[in-house]
Amino acid sequence: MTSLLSATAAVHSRNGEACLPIHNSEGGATIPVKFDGQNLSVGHAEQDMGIDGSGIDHGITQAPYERRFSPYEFNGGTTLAISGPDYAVVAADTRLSSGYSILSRDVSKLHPLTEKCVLGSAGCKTDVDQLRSVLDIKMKVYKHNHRKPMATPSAAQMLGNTLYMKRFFPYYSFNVLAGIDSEGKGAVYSYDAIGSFERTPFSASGSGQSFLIPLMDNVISHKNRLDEKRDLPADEVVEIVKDAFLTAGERDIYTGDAVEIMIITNDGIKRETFQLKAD
Amino acid sequence: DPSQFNGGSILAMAGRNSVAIAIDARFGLGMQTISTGSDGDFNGNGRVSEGGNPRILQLPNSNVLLAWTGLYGDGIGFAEEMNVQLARKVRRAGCMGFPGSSGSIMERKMSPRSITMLMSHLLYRRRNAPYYIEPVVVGLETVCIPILLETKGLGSDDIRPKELQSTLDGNPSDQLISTQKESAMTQQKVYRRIQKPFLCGTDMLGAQSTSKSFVCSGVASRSLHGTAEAMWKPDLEGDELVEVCGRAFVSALERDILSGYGAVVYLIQGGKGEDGAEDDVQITEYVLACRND
Repeated sequence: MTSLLSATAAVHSRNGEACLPIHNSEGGATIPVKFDGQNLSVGHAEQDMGIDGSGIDHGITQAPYERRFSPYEFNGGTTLAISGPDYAVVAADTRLSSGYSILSRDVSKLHPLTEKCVLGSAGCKTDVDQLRSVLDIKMKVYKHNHRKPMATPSAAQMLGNTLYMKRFFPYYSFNVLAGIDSEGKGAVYSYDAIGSFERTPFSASGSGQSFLIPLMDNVISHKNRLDEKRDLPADEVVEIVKDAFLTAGERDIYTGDAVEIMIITNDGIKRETFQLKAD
Repeated sequence: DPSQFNGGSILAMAGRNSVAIAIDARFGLGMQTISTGSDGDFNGNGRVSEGGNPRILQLPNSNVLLAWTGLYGDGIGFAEEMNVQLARKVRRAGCMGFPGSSGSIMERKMSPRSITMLMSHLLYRRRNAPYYIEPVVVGLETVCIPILLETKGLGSDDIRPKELQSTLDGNPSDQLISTQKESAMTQQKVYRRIQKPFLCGTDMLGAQSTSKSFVCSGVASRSLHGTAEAMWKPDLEGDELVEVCGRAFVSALERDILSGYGAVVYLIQGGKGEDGAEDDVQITEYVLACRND
């Protein structure tokens, strides 16, 4: 909505009051307008059918308005990753949205990069897909050059560099990387959109992150608690993850349908799916 | 953004027969913190919340607690408007609930539902230039549930109010069936008054959203929704309710820069007496330890 207002302000200052920037690809509202050379009036669509009889004004016959193209779109979703002493759990919901509509209920946001490393991304799906392709190619090249798959900390650094290479036209992708590091311990890295990253005990990103992060602070990092902190086994963490997604699914409109959970250990990756509310 | 300028958050939770409301203590101007309520030693008690807590809290009568976050100036302005209206409607001699005052209607305390309606009306009056506040109302309201009495026989003075079946649980009991075998004239329906928790949050224009579980408001409301949704469960009581409410509140404040510097939880607990006496309402204040940043 702020972009609609700023677009309004920008066009007003350039073109005067007669022009209304209503359409932009970020989903602004549409108001049919009528301009008879003197006065601008806002009216109902059935009054004018337009040249081709369809009733859609393409910006020619009625008041001229400007379209702004935005290269980014938010497709929704939440990802969560938690690390343990010898495992890492990463989970993401499977809903793909655009505006207030659901495009698909069954789209995966998790992408295994190697046997020991999984990338979860929320944000703009097209940027996420492109980022995955680029990373896959780099992993392959590394494997051919070094005769071994890339280790998780190296993959984390490579992802950070890849994101920063597009510093001035970023990938709209909010990533979490989860895996087993070279010593066999669980590792989780959180990223921002331009490649700043850090190894953390847990990470949540996407539209539901503000619902999950404080909960994880209390349950995983044991903040603001007086009882003893203990190491949690993998199956207990999976239950915590399911509870967390139930919470996020209740309060966030972009999160729902199902959760795909991957548990990464030294023996490989185990997958699990958990159904959420479809509303 | 006026609603976020001064900071502050509130979380209210309902339990069985009790409600808890948690408030923080930060007052700031954007990123700059001005007051944290820690200097509020005006009464010399050494308690953080006394006198110093900038969060606005009102106690119209012993059943209801009002609090709001948002723009502090509007908060004070609305508090004054509420005080005027509450003085007219609630604080007259009868409505405070002192027994023995003139007439039975006057003895009833004004319910939280009615106070919420009053608040919505006052907020909507300023539809075109609103008060930038997000109020929360918590309280206990008296509701009547029917119970069945068993009477010995016609003309008997010995009426034992034995609770055979409460419509709340809906479990048929053997005694009820045996009573039904007797004449219907010996049955008598009597209503029992109990205290039910009431929670309501409104937006700045007075639109109410009542909840059975929890209500939150303020800058940390997204985080509060997350923690409270995960930690609330039905039928919490007393200390457990305070613990859950406090934990959800403090965990959410961990990640919020515009709230913090203290957490105070007020617990309003209904009467534990046999007939759930309305007069037996307790309000307890708990001052929690939390991060001061």
